[in-house]
Amino acid sequence: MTMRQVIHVPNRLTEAMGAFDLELSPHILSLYPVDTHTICMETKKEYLLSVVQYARESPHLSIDFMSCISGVDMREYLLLVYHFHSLSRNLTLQIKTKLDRTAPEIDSLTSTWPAANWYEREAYDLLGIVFRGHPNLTRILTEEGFEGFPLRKDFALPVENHKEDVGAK
Amino acid sequence: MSAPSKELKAQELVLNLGPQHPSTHGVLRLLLKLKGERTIDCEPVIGYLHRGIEKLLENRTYMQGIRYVDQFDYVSGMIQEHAFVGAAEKLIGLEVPRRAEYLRVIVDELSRCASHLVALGTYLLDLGALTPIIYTFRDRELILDLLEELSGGRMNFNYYRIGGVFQDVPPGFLQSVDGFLDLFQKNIDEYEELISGNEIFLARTVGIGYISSQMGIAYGVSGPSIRGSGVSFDIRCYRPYGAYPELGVVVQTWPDGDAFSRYKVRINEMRESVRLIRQALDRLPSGPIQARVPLLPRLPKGEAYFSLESSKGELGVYLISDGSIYPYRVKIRPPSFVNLQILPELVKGCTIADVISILGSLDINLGEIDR
Repeated sequence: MTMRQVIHVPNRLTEAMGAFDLELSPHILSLYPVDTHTICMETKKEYLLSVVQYARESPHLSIDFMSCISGVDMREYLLLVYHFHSLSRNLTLQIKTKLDRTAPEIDSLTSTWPAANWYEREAYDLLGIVFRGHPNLTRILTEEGFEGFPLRKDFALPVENHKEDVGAK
Repeated sequence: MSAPSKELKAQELVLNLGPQHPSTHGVLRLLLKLKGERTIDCEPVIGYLHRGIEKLLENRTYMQGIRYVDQFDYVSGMIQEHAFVGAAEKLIGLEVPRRAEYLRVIVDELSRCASHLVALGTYLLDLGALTPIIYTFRDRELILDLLEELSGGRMNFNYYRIGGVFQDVPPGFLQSVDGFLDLFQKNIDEYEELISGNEIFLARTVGIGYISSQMGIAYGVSGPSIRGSGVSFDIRCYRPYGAYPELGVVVQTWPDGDAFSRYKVRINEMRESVRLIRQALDRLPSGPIQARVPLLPRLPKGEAYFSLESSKGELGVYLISDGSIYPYRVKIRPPSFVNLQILPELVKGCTIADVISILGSLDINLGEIDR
């Protein structure tokens, strides 16, 4: 396997990151380019709404297309990863937010991003993340009366773990 | 006897459409709230095909996982495999041999044609035309025969590998693809002749299910459904991957935003796919088809978000690896899942017959919605 290449960061990404640094520095925990068109930033969950709103209005970012919301169980905490595209600037913004594992709660984006509706329901269904202000936060993929959150790492699978069968370390 | 009152009472009626209904394209259930013939509200209920593939993938090695991702959008399995494998390659930073990239273009575009043929045939079937599905499935069968010759499977291909593809083309395969394209190009003209000017088809599709470009973007609609609203958003151009930058994809758009323009975009995209496959056949380089990757790849710690243009829209895979032979988390961004969300907005005030027409024009696939 070849090694990872050093990323050459284009100007528009540096500009976009500069716009973030100046205005919102206390809200941002980390900010770095992932590849030639993606910026990753980490923010505290309280600031999510304001950061997304800022990124939408800032001319250097102008995100307009919600690509994905992914929930991840990182064992110590839950992680929400948002992916936004800016169709006009041709860049992608990846926002990460850590959530407490025992009581995961975050503000819903549905009021300004209608596309977030089912993503948030999915994250609620599979990981148990509660989105404050969501119009209809109910289970979406699992059947009625289902208990537990299947994508959490401690969810007991009803069958024996397949990992045993591979025989690899 | 008292005289019957002249005013008819109109009361709301909740109609359950599906999940076992042929025009819901699988196992979608729609709760329609009707007032007379008009729909006031619609609530899609999904999850009847939920197999927990994302959880399954966490307990399979990468090689084993490729076999599962086929079943997201089962009418274009090759593209689904590409997304999964592409995310792993992006995480490693792996360079894929040129020949493999060109073979991927060929199978991806063949799959795209197969998927659009299913969309076209079933859409016309929904609208009451029983013949076109026989025509489109005739052509789709030829594509599936080609892909079977290449990979050994009709729908569950298991053809992609991290760093390349499973095997090189069998002798005579490229000639058969070329022969198929000649035939297929004539057949697309035939579809257009039969369908595009048909008065009943136009009455059922023109001006129905209007999506404005702003509304489509706000709802995250992608693929032919947003290109039918005049937005030229195609990941093959927006964020080119594989061999697409060398082939130069021409984005197919249509400005009207109704069901007819989504149909038109699909027809034109099949023509564009034919052109891309021809180019890929002409320029197909020689050389290896597989980079040097161990049989049981252990991906470095990290994450990658890779998205590509499937037949339905932006198909994204967010992959997290913890350095073991299993993926730590695989999140799929299924285009149909997002595209279906806009349906309640579109059907407000429509007749029940138009609900079927609008749903068919969005071209959803429950396999990838429910996962």
